[in-house]
Amino acid sequence: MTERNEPITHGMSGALPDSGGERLKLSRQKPCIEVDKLNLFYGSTQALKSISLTIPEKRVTAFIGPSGCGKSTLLRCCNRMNDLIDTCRIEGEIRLDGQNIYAPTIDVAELRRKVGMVFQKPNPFPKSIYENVAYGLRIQGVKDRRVLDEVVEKSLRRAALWDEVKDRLDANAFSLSGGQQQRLVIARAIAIEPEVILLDEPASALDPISTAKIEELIFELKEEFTIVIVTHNMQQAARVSDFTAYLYLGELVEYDDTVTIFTNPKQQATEDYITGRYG
Amino acid sequence: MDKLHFDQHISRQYNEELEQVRNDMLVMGQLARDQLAGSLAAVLEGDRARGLELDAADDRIDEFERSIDDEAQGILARRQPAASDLRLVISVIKTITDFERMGDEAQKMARMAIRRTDQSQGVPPQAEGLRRLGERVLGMLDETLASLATLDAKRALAVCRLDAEIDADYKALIQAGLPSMAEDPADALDLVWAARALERIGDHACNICEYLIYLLGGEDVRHAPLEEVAEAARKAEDRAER
Repeated sequence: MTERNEPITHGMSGALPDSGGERLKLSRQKPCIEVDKLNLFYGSTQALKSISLTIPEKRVTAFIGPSGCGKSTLLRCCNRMNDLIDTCRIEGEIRLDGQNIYAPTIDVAELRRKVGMVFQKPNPFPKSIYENVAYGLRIQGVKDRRVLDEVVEKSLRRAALWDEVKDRLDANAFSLSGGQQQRLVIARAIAIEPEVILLDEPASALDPISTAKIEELIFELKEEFTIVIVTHNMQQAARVSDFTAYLYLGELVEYDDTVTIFTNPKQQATEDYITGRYG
Repeated sequence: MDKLHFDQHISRQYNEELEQVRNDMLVMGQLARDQLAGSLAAVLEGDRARGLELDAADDRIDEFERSIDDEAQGILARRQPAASDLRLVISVIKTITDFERMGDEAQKMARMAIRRTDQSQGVPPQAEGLRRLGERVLGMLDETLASLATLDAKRALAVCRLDAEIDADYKALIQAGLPSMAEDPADALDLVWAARALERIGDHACNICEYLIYLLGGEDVRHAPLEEVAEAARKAEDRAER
């Protein structure tokens, strides 16, 4: 007869199946970016409402939510892209490695060197593949061809593009496919060794194969960089991210490890969104 | 009734698929329950015809298992369910495995009825005790099906609590049957097998209730002490009321 809860006492030497390891705990992560009571207004419209969350270092954090929820706005705040919008006003703080990036002393160009960004539509420069990747270094005044060659190759390798383009580095970047262009843009972003890479819908204009390559790349890049991704594709967020934040109408509804968000979210609103129920 | 709002997806087709797989699971559960009730009666009444009928009925349960698994696989592949939808599909897949095993246990009893009548063995010893145990297990199964239909964690927990009583009844029944072992070992063994089948069905019912608590609250309570199951069931209920 089978007793309930009888402990298994016979020798079991086999290790448990690896279910992706122990579930990641947000509280145990090393913080990279700390968003602290962030309010953002476009004119009189409030787009972000008292957002506080910590983005952990060398992990992938996804922002999800319906259109207009503020996820791209929040992403853009992380390297002050919103500064470019005249009517945009911000309260609260975002700290990168403990330093408020909205402090008056901050050099915004330097901030954007540390916090790179990749957009939905690949935006290579109308230059050769080589020059696209070397661009950031040239701006920094690097002229040594050997250094440039090295960085270009390394960056293209890290972006999983090298094998496809090594024989045509002088070809125009626009000769590449959309998926290749997106990986080129990522290579350009990592060539200057940022700390953080912000990805704004990086695969939504790509076919499934190119999307899979970008996702695989994201998995590899988190070894070295902190990644923040905005995506409309919830399965993509589930596949690539370690942590997921759900935003709705400018508010942070729920933020937790990705497995929890997709199997057992705490908030009904999150559940309704990720399962495609009426909001 | 539908505490998890399975009928509120933007895709009506998806609502229907989840509804369908859940209904089919309930129908399968009812089949397993009827199979048990019939097999038990066949054993207790020495009803060969009924035994034959119920022996064959297990095929139907097996078919249900395959076709529900197929539905569930289709939902996983095409819908990539998340959160409560995902937990629903997982718990359906697990639940029907336990229903299928219940069917197998009931089938053993049906075959026992056939064999005993063929060998003119009549009613097994301790028939009254066997009937009582069988009725308790049937009651447990009814409660399991009702919990599943109404998505009721509290009711599921009550089923899990019953399992210990069933186990005690089973032990007592075996004890009572031991003296007849010397007189007629074959007869006594049938008692043991029948009681054992009933006790196993109780375990399966309990498993199913644990899957239901997981579905409702998101917490895996398999192999957990009863207090933890109770705590998880309470949390699931709180959540449903929100």
